[in-house]
Amino acid sequence: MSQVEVGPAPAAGAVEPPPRAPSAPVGGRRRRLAGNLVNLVMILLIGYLVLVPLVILLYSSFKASTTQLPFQVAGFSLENFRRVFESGQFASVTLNTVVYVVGSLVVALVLSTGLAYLMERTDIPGRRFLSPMALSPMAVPVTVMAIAWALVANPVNGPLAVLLRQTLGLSIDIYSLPGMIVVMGIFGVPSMYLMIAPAFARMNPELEEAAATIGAPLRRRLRLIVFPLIMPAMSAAAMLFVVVALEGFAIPAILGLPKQIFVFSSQIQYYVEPPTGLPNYGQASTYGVLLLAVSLVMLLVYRRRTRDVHRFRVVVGKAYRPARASLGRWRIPIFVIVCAYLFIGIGLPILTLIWTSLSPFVRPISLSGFASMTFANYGHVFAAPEIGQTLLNTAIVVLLTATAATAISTWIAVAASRRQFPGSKFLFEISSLVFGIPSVVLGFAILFLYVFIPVPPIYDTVWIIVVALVARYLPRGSRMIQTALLQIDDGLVESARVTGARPATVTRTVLLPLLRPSLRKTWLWVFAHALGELPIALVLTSSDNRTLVVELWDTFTSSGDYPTASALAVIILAISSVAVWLVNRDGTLEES
Amino acid sequence: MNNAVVAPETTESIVVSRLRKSYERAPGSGATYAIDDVSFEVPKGQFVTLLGPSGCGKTTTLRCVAGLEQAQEGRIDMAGQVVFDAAGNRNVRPEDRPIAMVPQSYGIWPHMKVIDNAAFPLRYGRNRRRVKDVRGRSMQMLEQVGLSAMADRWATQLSGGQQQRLAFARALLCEPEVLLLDEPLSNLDAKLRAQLRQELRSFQEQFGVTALYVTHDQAEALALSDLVVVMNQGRIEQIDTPQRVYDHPRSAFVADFIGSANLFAVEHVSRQDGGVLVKTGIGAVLCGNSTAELDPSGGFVCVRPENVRVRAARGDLPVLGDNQFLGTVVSSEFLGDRLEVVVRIGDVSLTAVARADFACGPGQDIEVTLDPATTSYLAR
Repeated sequence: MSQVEVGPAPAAGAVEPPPRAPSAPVGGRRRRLAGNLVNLVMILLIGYLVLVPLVILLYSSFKASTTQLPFQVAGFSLENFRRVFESGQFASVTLNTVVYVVGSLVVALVLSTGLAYLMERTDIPGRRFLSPMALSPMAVPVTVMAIAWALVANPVNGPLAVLLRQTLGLSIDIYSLPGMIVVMGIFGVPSMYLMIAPAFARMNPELEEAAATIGAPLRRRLRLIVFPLIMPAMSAAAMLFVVVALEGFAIPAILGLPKQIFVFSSQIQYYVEPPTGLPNYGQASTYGVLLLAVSLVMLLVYRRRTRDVHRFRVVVGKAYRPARASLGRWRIPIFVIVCAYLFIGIGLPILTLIWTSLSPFVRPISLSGFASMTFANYGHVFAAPEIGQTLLNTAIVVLLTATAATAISTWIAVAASRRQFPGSKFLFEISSLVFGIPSVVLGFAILFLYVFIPVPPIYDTVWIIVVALVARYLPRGSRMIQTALLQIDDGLVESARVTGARPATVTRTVLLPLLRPSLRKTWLWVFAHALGELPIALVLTSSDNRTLVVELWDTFTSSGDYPTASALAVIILAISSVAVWLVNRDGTLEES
Repeated sequence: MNNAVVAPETTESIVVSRLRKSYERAPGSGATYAIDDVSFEVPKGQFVTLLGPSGCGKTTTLRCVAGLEQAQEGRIDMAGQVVFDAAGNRNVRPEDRPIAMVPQSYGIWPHMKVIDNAAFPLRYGRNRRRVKDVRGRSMQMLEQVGLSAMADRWATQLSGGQQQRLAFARALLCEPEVLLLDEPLSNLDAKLRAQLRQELRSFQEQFGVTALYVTHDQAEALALSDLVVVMNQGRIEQIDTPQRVYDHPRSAFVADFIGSANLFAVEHVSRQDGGVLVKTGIGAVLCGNSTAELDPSGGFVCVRPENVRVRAARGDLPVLGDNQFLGTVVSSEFLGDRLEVVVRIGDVSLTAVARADFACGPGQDIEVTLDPATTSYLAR
């Protein structure tokens, strides 16, 4: 298409050019060229971040390597798949994974639907206080969560285990499949709650009242009216949960590995970094491909479901007062049950973590222990050799990842919404593929990449972790920005364009300022998650690029120094909580 | 306008010719067009309205003129320059067209002060001013739309009507050749709408700017425009002055869409002195107005309710003259200043407007007169 210049064009790159500068079409062409160059660089960068790991993963799954690196083996074969399917290990890992995922899904669904219904549709007291409490696990990185549960419910001296043994005579062991299921279920509640609660909230009570006037009792109303209306939101939330549970590594690793209970994600990590012997990359890749396939199917179903959510949207412009069902005499007992859940499920593990971090050795919470509380463990953390380097590494990784992921996400989302160049929409869509890549797999795919092609030479540096984390958070980040873009009225950008302002000026003066709250949110969200992201850092770590979360993992699993590990976990938890609190401080909580 | 290329003297600000756009990827023979073969002109300094029901393609046409969307066929000239030509593969980007726009939602930027909103075109637009002139010029314009007292408030603190004025001020500061307005009054309540409608027209006249206005509200179109372009299903039905569109609709759609109209089917048509004689369900009707060509297979008779004269039937067998018919009252509705009577003649129902004190009741016989001067024949 030929470019025609009508109005006077400012010199390329000038922000405030002198008025009425005489124009030449060259300026426009040069700007076009620069714009295209930026687009090209971004396309290559995203392709590199997204597609290369995928290709490497597929490639190495077809390489019959056991102890060698995949690219040291000639030819392609299905040997890996044959070996995986023939091994007895595969059946037991699959069974564990199915039990783990389905079990935790049921726990999360029951808890989040129940809480959402109680908070949004009933007159349960203290809603203002209970609903943020129910969401508070969001601020806890999953690694910290798993460690806290290991401390609170371990059969030897966990306060919860001890309490149950003494009062009810029950002996519980967190290092078991049921333990993993409960922890994953509780961990999944906030994100599910955030998807289901709005469905309850925006349901017009008239729909329910209409059924009530016909004479349908509450039970039947719930089944025939309420449940079908929130079904799309529930099933979408369930799909997403399955993907997260499948790829989640910290909980199966911390609670499952001590008793050799493997699920897919921990099995992959076990192949890549076995405690003894050499890594088996072929097997790891094959498990990775299988896991990826399941996740992608789930994501496809999820996308269909979320389209249904729009179909079922029963929002009306007219304001209505959401009528709340009366709980009657059950009001107080239910309130007590919810409080008990919040205390045991969320409060107690975190309290135990803090308690342990302040204790000289692992011991149950007791009044007598207060006298001997100590900050020595925090002292140990900061006295460790090379802690300075670790903190610096962590800061670099987290800050750079948050900034780069936000910037690239914004670019993808804006390009896709404007259809800036052919295929921009497609680029946005393929970035969501990464969401289906379990982070263990993403980690070692990137590891292979830099062992295979050491350009740029970032192997063993913090940069390799940054690359992997940016790739990991691109899909979420770009979706957060896209959601914000959809809420910006087209008229706002169009009226800036028709004044004759350059696209870059419009972006700088109108679009980005309007997006600012979402940019901030995305940045903080990535920041908090990058801080607690264990598997990528673990797979890519070496002596030179250790981060806090790897330090935590090593302290907890290898040295067994639980008080120091707790102190580290509390530090990570504190930083992450501040970031999450900032994300949610202004405005409503959003699906994240 | 200080265009790079000097525009030849022209009296048309916009010439749209044979514009066609489909939202389908590859429009085949059976494609549906959002706008289909649309041609019209906007004379300099005039107020032209695109009027039609929702989905008729009026907003798409406006957005094509703005350059925010691109048609597949046709050509758009603006101030003597080709800004879009599908055949010549030429498309000037919106930022390079001499336009300004007031979108339906006003597009007032919430993160800026009122003055910054207004000054945006002077700072970043195609007609940039020196930094020291910007504030003065913007204040001057805000003064003219009555917003100078609010200049340093946040734009979100303005009421709907004030936001609309601000959007208008900002658009005028672009010094456009053409001002494009996309249903700018539709988000206001009825009373404010009527007030701002008048303001809008007086601003437009005061600044002598050419305006292309999109609305689905016929009252707005009739009140504001120099020319009305009536659109339906992507096609133009009629381009005329408001009076002519109302009095001499060229199609049944226009007659029905603008104001209310009695339309009834025609069985046979022939030319006669003083008009067209048609055979209809109520008998032979002489129509003083007619579309240029006759449709031998039928068409419609169109008469506005206020032009249907009714009179109580006198005697058992009243003598009926030409264009006089005997009917039965089906219903009558008292509307304060007038009475709306529905009359049945044969199989045809006619609505007539009578004086408020006209006494009639259902079942009563009534004499109906259609004046040839206000009765039109419309080919199908």
